[in-house]
Amino acid sequence: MSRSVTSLGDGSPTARLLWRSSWRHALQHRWQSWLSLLGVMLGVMMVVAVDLANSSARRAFELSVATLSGNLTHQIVAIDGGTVDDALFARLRKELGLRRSAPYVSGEVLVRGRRFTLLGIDALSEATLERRRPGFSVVPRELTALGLQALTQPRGVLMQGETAAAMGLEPDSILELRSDGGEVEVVVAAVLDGDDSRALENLIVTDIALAQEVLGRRGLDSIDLRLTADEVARVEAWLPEGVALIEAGGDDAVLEQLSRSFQINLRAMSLLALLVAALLIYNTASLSVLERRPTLGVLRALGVGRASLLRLVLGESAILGAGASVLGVVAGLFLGQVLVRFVTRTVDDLYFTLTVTSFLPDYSVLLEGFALGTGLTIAAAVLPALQAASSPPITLQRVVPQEQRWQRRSRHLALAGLILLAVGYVLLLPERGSLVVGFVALNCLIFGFCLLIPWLLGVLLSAMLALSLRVLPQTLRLSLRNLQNSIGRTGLAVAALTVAVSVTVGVGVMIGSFRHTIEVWLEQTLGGEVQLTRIDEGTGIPPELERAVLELPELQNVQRQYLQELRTEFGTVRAYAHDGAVEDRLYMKEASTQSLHAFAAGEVLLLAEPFAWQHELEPGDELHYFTRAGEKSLPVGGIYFDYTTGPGSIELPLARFQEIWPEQGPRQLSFTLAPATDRAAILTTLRLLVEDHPGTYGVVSNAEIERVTLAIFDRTFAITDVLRLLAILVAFVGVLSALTAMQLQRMREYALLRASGMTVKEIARMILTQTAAMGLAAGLLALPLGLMMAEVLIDVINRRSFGWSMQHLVPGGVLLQAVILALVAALLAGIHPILRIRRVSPALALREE
Amino acid sequence: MSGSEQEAFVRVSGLHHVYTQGEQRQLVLRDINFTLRRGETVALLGRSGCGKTTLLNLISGIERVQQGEIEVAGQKLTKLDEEQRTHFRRKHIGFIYQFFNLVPSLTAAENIALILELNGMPLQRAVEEAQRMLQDIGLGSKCAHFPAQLSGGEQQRVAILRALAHAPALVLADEPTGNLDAHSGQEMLGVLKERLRAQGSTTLLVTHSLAVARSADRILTLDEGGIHEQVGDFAW
Repeated sequence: MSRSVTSLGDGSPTARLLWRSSWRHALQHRWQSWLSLLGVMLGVMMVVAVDLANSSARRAFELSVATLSGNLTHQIVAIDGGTVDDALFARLRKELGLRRSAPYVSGEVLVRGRRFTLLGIDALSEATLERRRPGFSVVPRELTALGLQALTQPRGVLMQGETAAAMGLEPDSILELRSDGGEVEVVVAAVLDGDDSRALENLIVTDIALAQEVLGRRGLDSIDLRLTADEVARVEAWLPEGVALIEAGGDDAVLEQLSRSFQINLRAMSLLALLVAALLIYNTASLSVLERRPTLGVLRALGVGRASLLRLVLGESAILGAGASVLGVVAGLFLGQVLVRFVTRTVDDLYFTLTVTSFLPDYSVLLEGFALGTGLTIAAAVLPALQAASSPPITLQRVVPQEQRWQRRSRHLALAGLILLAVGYVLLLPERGSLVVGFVALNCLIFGFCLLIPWLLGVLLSAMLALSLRVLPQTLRLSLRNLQNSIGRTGLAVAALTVAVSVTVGVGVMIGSFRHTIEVWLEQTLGGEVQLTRIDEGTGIPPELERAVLELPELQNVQRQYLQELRTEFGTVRAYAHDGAVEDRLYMKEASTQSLHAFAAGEVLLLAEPFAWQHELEPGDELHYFTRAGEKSLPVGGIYFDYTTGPGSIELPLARFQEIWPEQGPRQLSFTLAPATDRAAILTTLRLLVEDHPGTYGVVSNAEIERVTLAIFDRTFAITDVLRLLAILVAFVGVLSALTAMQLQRMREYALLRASGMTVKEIARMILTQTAAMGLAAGLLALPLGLMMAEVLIDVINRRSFGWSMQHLVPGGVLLQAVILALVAALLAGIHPILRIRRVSPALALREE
Repeated sequence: MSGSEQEAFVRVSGLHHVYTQGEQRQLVLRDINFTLRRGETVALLGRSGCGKTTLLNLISGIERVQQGEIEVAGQKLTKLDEEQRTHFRRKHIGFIYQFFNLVPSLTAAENIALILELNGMPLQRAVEEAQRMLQDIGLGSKCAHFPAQLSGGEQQRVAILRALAHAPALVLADEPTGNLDAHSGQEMLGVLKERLRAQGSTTLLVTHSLAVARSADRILTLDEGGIHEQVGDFAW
């Protein structure tokens, strides 16, 4: 075999001249080539950016958890969710001699408006615990030394060197820490420079006593332990009442699961964009093969084998895919840094206060993005490559049958589409199931619908033609008929635009429904108009403050809310109780009148929907929980809607709550306002009033809570807006490419029409009619697909991710926006061919063909 | 049967071919028997749609033989699968078309070099060889021109060189002058005859032109599915 010929292993050589011919074809159609490249690049960019942002947020999450808790095995915590007595730690060391133990206190503080996690440690105990935390280069010796240094300096704290420098702080600088406990001045005793200093960027370390003072906390959050199996048994036997030994990291896993669900949703959106890009590649490769059909026929007649042509088309796609993927990966790296801010902010808002917010990219994502982009581009070109390989030699080619074959194929595709839709539907039938199966089902539905589109487009065009029988002039009817005859070429471009626009419908309807549900829920659950809440971890609002507040004549209809953390068989939950009728404060999902009576009588408890969903609890089931008086249980009486995040909530009958925590006052008082009350003035009065009482309080109007909640909601979904815009951009690029290719193929026909006396204006109108018809069809078809997508996102994906059920709201604006979007994208795509036909003389166009 | 059995280079015997479209069957070739001797040029005449192109497709292995036998240079085409027929065509057959069918994204020289490269010649040498051939027929200045930049006559001369570049044993020409004016047609025939004589290739030339047919060694006519040797004047 000669050096210039590449062996294919089947005896068929692919001559270098064939590659050269392909390259020149791509250059001659550089408009299309660039658009294909851009389509794949944008798709890869989205996947890489979202993956990078997710992995970075996940690593920040893991690092944050690890920085705070280190390599523990167990923790001793208070059964009722409160604090552990300081004296218990001393007893543990003395009575059991467990040296690998340390007390633990942490909480959030504000320093010059920036949030930090304040970590209180006992440096000497940390030395014997040998806790390994990321970021400390020499552990525990350095930490101990630094801890001692902090200890020896009154009110001393440790900070990361870079953070301190960024804030203009150096050893001996005075800092003001704000927290629930009030404002406390501390001194920077030393700065920490760890191996992985990013782990420490939002962390302030201090002595445990100072941490307790700053955070206004009595007792310890936990006693952290590293235990052997024998020691576990000894500790369990020794533990006094009111505390429990738990495995470390259990609650973190729940949080991680929740934030991961959010990230899965984002990943699904980015993959949809790549699916759109793959459809476009398929379309572009098909058009390219169709255009080159005569040339491929000549090559077949000259003796070029089928395998050579197959490899040629696949090779072209591989080169395009690899090039576009490299560009996409680079662009994704930049976009990822922007998106990570959205993701960490959401994780921070909803799930966990991250001590780490820097960009921590997982570089394997880049490789994955490259492989996915290239692989998908090659996969999308398989069918066109097979088409190329089956090109008959030139002498056997006929002009007409190709489109006839496409029309026949559109029926077969429609049948396959119906089967996929059925598979998707069946996969969604079980009420419960994995998130992955949910996404597989969603993809079956989307892909199934895509396959239906060429056939549906044919039906739509027939209907348009029938309706416009006497209305449209002959030239415009001709352009619609042309479109109908080229379903093979246009069907997939319309499918790509349909999918992209349907993403805007699906996500738009889902977000609209979610927002509406949150609004209804807030309205239902926020009692009154003004709230007074104790926000530190005290024993609630003191009776004297309550009395003073109730004396204010502007405040009426007081409602009290009680809150404590409670350990249950499923981990720690937030246990609420309210005075008055529970149905006035909770938005009930599932509860009979009988069970509400039972609740009022203290015989049942109510569960928040996500908690019930996660642990598969239903009315009638029993929930076990732990109190200082031992293990108790109550039957589940009903389920209420809840859209808060975190470990889960339950509602206890007030009598039961007060049995467990008899000294606990209400955490929150809410009131309605007397007529003609100045809301701002009463809020100021309340704020002044609470200053005279111990504890930290929040005084807000419900309108403010609603505003802040919805602001957080909108921030959470801001990233989806970015992704939606990018998905549309990918689709627009594809439609532009497909329409341009289709119109350029028609140049000869247009030239002929111009030669026959048609003006450029009339031809432009024909082109715009075609593109508008395609845009309108895509816009209309996107509506059912988008609504179906919203249905799955609301009832399956979000339910399986978060356990939330939502009300369905279809905002008319989203639907109208989708149709207009598709129409505008398609009309814009008609501009290039119009400009082109203006420049081409009829004679030249005819000669070129 | 025509021609001498001993010198037969192409042997077609008992060939039938039917086109089926839906439920309609159309018999295009019926019991075709003839031979071509090595090195001779035979013209094939016939009305439009009588099956001339189908016969060329069958002899070149582009279409599969349904019934009968075709033997080229001792190789029975019915024994070869599609891939083998493709390789056989690449090596032993040159095809000239009425509409030139040059690859639009390759230059004149590259179009010729392509068949040489497909047959194993290194690319550089193949292009140099193609340039030399173009110079020989006075198209040296057009080596780097793309087909769209050439006149019809020039394109057909490039197509002839591409068909003959690898010295095929059999050349099939399907109305090679059909798309050219009288002058360009004569010029093209001159080039073709000269090259064929030099290479000693066997040629089957499908044409409507009596003048072209008369330049051949023998004339066959295809009519109503059957083939006949033309010895007298033409009926049409």
